[in-house]
Amino acid sequence: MLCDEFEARLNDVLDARQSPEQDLELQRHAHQCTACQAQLHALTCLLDGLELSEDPPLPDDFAWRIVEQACQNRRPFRPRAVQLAALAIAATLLLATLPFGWVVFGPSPQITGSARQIDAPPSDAVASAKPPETSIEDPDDSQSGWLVPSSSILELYPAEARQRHREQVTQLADDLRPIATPFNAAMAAIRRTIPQRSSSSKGQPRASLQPHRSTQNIS
Amino acid sequence: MLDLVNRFKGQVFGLCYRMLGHREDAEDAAQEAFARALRNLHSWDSEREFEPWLLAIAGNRCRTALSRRMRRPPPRSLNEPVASRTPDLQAAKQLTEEVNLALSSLRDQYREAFILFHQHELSYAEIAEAMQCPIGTVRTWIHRARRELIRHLQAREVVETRYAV
Repeated sequence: MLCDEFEARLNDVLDARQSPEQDLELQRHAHQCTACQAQLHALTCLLDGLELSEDPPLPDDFAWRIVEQACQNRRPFRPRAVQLAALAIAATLLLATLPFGWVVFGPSPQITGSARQIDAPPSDAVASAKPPETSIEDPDDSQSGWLVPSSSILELYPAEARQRHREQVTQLADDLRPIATPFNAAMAAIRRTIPQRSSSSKGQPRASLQPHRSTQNIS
Repeated sequence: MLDLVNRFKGQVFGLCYRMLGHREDAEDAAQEAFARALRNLHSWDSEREFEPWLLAIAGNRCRTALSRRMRRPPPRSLNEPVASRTPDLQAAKQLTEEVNLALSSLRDQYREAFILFHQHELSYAEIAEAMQCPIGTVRTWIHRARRELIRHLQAREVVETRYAV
């Protein structure tokens, strides 16, 4: 065995986690070669020193500190996520209630007229009420307001209630204005998926980017 | 979580101590390693052994600490051998100090691979996975580490030099 072969075999024995002292080939060559014998001796000292070395003790609260740090590193609940979630829920509810709202508050003269005929209370205020100035909504008219209430129904409520209703609708429009553009895009996308009927698509609900205008005083 | 840390804190701290040679630095590195492991526990493949994965994180933390240390003088705790008060333990303590000093003189990759193999008894495959390198590279690093350590001990006259190469 040559010295190069000795080093290679020594590494192989160590890689196999065997003791070099129990390998006859290595021992036989080490007895014949002083350099390789020194190398073998130094390796033995190295492994002995490694085995004898001890790590310094860890503090008793080491594990507790780690667990405490892990608990503190949890991300805090973000309020912005709550706002976005609230807006998303409001938009979903609005989308779900719009068809109903359009039927009740829609500016269709046929519906409003029939409502006026059927629901109008026998009062002087109703008899003297002027027809609403706002015309039938043009889907392309961005100036039109939304949820324009039918005067015949609102007249059933006191003025205070009507004012409060207008304020609430105005506030709701202000809150939902940031999502008006994506909402319109979503409505357009949904509309494209619906098979076109022979009748026109006028009167489809559409979100407005303009500030909600209070309805005129109809009392 | 507490049981997990208690089970592996010895191995992690031992690797960090051998790599960094300083108790406080090793404690910080071990703490960082556990924090990262707990934070990224979801990325551990349960079909693989946990210890190599954890030691890989610890090795990365040690390498980061070493790169930050740069030219800072090595810690005294593992730099020069200190004579033991008890004569019976003097030789053993001096030997361990010399071995630690020799380890500190190795390249970081050599030292980490050598420690993972001889002290943590990981296989070549596990070390390759922990250090993210081929198995052949790990084998080369460990063989070179052995050779350099032997030469360092002979140069320091820790072993008899009449047979020195």
